[in-house]
Amino acid sequence: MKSNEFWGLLINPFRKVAGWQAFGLGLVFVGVMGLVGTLGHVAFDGALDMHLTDSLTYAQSFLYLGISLASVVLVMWLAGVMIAKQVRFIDILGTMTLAKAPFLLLAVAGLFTTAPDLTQITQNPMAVFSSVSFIVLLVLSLPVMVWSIALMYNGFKVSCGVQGSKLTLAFILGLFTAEIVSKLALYWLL
Amino acid sequence: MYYKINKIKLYINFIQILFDYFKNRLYFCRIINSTTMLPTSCPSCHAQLKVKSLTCESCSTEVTGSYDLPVLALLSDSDQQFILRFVKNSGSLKEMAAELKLSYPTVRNMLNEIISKIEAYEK
Repeated sequence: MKSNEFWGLLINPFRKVAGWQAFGLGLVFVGVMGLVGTLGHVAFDGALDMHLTDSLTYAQSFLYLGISLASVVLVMWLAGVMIAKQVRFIDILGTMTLAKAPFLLLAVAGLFTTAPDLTQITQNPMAVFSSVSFIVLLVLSLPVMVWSIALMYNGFKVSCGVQGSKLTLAFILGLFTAEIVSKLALYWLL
Repeated sequence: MYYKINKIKLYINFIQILFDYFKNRLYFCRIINSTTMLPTSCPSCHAQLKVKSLTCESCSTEVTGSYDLPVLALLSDSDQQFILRFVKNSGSLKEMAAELKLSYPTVRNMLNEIISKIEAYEK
């Protein structure tokens, strides 16, 4: 495989994989994320959120993941229906599930991270810098989030078959709405 | 002195002729190599070409006129190949996706692009 092709696949695998295949592959990543996240006390509680918690059960971890993923899929599907003629639900479901895959890196990083004490941070905000592993996790979270957003955008683009400002606007609005919906859903359901 | 300048001019002209010769030769080679594909746009101004004459190879009868190219002929080679493959696969995008090793929505988007090109040509 050529280098360009490899990087292209990392950013847009949906040219080759979509629908049920992407959903199956994405479920594997999400499943491992749920397991590793629980062990590392990393909760993926939002469309693009990740938080370190003191305690996290397997049920909570998977509920957070499930609700946030469902919010993204539903909102993006509705956004897709509004801007495109032919959007298959399975394509949105598959691409959005697989777009969560980069967060597995944060789940793994969470295993080696010690969260700084909250009471210490409120007294002295500079206490955040006392934990090197926490800083590493913070720094890592930015490229992971960018990668995930790029995957979501490409997944949305391939699924809808629309280009230009209409696509970008629908995606940005969809992403913000999904984040709000996931937060509200988590607040009401848990 | 005058004789020398003329001689240099002669050499320059000769080099120029040689250069033009190879340039033209290269140009015609390109044209000959591209004869496998029907040209659809003017190489000079990129306007759409028309068919001026048709010849019968068996009796050399020549028909002259101004005929529009069929819409399918206006499409690029890759688009024509896509349509051929689409027909051969009985219009199944799922089978096409498997054959091209691409995802279903990608192939559907390729088809949609060709449809919009055809619609634009038909206008």
